[in-house]
Amino acid sequence: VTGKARVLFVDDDEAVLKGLRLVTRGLRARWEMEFVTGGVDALSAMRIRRFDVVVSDLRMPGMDGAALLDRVHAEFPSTVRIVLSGYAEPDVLERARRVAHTMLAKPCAHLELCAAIERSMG
Amino acid sequence: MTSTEATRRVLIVDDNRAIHDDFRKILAAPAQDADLDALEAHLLGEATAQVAPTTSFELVSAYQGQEAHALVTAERAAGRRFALAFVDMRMPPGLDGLQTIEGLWAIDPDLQIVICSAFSDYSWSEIRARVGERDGLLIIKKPFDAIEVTQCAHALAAKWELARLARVHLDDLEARIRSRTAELQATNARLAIQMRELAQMESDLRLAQKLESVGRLAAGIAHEINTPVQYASDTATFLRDAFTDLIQVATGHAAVSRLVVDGHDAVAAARAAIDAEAEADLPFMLDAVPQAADQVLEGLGRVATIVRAMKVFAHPGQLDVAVTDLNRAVESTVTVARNEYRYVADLRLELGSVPPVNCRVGEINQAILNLVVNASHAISDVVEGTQRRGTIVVSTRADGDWACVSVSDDGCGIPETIRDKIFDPFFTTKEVGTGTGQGLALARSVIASHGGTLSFQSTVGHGTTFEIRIPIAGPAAVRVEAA
Repeated sequence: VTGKARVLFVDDDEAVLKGLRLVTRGLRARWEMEFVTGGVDALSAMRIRRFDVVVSDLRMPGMDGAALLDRVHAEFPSTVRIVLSGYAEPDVLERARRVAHTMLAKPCAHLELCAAIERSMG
Repeated sequence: MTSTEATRRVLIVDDNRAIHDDFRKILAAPAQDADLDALEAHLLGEATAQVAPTTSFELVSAYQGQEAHALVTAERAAGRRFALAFVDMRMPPGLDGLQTIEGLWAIDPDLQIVICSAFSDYSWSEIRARVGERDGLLIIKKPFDAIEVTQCAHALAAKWELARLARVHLDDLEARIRSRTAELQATNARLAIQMRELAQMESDLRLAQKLESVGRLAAGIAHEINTPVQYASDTATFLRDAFTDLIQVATGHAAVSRLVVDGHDAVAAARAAIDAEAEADLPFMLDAVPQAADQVLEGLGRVATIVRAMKVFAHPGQLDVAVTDLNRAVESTVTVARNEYRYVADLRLELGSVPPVNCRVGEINQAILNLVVNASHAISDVVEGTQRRGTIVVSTRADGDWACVSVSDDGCGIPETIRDKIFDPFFTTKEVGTGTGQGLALARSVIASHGGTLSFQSTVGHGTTFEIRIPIAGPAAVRVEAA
């Protein structure tokens, strides 16, 4: 019904999601966004509706970001996968690198994040 | 007694050549006499007379005392010894018998000596006064009979041999004791070096352990800081944009107000202001802006908390014993350790009333940190791959003269089979690369150096509680008490 890009943000820290929600507010005319706090919720959301981009934290309880992106890669190969992480153990980083299109480090200026998302949608 | 064939060298010292021949006849001849055999068997302790005589004699002649000294000296230089000497008492023109004997013993104290004397030149007491109380000296009176000489020769030869064996044995024993002593000294020296190396190693390990946990913490702290910085700056960015919009709305409304006050037509301006207000989504702003401001402050507060805790945790002046607020130390430690447990567990502090404690707070922090990290690993073993979370309880209390910190988890518990090993250095159940196996060993040694104890109670499947107990008065006070 719309040409809006659909973006899914995944982070276990609610405050991070709130911040992202506020800072991307100016883009709500172009993007349709959802915010979830874990890998399981992210996959559920993606099974209901298509997403063009998923932006995920790495260190999360239960399913970590690398595992999530791995599943996204398998189930929704056309979705662009972006990592936004404050820190991760080397092995998690390595797994993430293999399945992520873009790796961003927290803290990441919102312009840089938005540019990365825009770029990924061509 | 041995029956090994042996030839003993016998020195005959006499100025009378005929005497030498007599000795030769008596001692050098093969012993064929049955009586002699029996005698010899008796002397040497043999059970029967069937055994052939075991000692034969090789006779060497000297006709003067000086010549005898020269012979014994030459013999010793050649690595051989005379077993006994028959010495005449009167040997003009040279040394007499006693002088000869004194010289001989000076050269070879083991030499057995028989004095042969025709009449009493010296009394026995005079002889004793000259040469001292010696057991290697016999006197036979001339003219002597063959049996007497043979008895003397065999008895003294056997005695000489026994003395020689005893000396060899003693020398051997002494040599063994010396070498054993040397070995023990070497071992002692090695032990002392090893003790020093061990002490050095332990201090290196403590440093390594500290660096390991600092490294681990630095990573965790990076995350703990990066996350609030991310959302605080996102939210501040939103606030900046929101203010830009709100100022526009306010400016629009101010323009309307001025037009109204000045009596002008304000309808167009009011419409523009309402449009700007709609554009800014004022109801959303009214709701979001105060929250956003709180969120920025909350994020900055989180950063400040972790930086403060890091300062308390890793303050350089903590190597010395100092009066410490134990509860504050515990709070700082669990704050810097938050990233170690937050994905698997909630942590509850139950801080009791504890008076100021004399301790090296850096070491105590380190020990508490190790216990919290272990607790989160124990919980992780249980909840990993599930949606469940565990609980860690860190509590403090005073118990008489003691300050106690306990760290409880509801994790996997410690199996019976490894309970006596968990404090061993390098013992670890974690994957290679996860830990050095030093955490608990060093925690215990650190607590012990405070005069305290580190103990635990564990139930497999239910969890583990570690308890640190340290004297409130400090490590020195305990040493005094114990002394």
